[in-house]
Amino acid sequence: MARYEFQAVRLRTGSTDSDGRLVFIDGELAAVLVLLADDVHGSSRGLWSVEVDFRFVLANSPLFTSLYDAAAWLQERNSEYVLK
Amino acid sequence: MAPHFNGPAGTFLQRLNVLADLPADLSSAIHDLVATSRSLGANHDIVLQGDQPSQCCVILEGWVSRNKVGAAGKRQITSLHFSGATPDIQSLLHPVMDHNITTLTNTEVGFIPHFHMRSLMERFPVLKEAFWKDTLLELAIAREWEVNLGARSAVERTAHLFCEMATRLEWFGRATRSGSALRFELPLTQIQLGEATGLSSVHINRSMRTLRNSGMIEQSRHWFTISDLPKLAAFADFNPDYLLAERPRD
Repeated sequence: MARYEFQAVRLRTGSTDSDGRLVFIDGELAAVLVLLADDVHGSSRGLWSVEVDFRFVLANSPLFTSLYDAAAWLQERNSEYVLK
Repeated sequence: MAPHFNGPAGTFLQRLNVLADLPADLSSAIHDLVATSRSLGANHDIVLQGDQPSQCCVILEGWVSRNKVGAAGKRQITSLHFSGATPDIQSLLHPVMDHNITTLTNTEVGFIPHFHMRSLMERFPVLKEAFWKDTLLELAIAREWEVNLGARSAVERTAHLFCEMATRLEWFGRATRSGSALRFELPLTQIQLGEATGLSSVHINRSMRTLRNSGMIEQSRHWFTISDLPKLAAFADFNPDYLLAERPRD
């Protein structure tokens, strides 16, 4: 069972999306999440978005209602992604 | 501004006439060929990856995208086409489609069977030159989109797309200029803008907001005004030389 830790950080995104979390999976920094707050995001406000994912730099990510769901998704994607 | 042609094939002839000098009898032959057209709604696939078309489509009115869908279901728009375009002309020489062509808006599409198109090109070699030029133009645009994806920031690549579309639309007579400002319709959703620039919806939302807040772009639904095209072009590293094939001759 992977261990998730979240550390609150302020992000400078040039918008009001500034409430961020560093996501550690088993002690390793895996991603930076941001809470969508800016009104440009419409109905997605209040959801967590993957701002940076250190392993899948350019892939598109879904939005999450909770930090735990986001971390579980990151963890699952990391463990499923095996180059054959 | 380009001269306008009337009739069902008007936009197609207008575009061809910029790419090459059309003899009058070619114009009437093309009118006959696209006399019947189909009205399609938005998000309709005209051709799909893997298809082996026996005809070429002509976008008489409306907007389409070329796009590919990755294994994870994510769509990338690789080019945008509006009235007058023949986006699958390559099917004449490359029998299997390697991408999809999908309508973005209500679209009026004419279809010209390959054998008709071939015999027309034999009768009027200038048509071959026009399509060759169109292919080179597409390659030049694709190179700029590659630079967008690899070497421009989110806001810059969004601005670059707007400069490119504004310039092409103005040359086609579909943008209104007052001073250095240009007003035009670009009927893409925010998600489709993201698919064309390789940006997530979160990042395209922020980029559009940055451009609006800076006063460089005004938006009212699908209508956009670039307040100062040279200024936005300088910001976006946009130089229209790569589009010159599409510029109407004076």
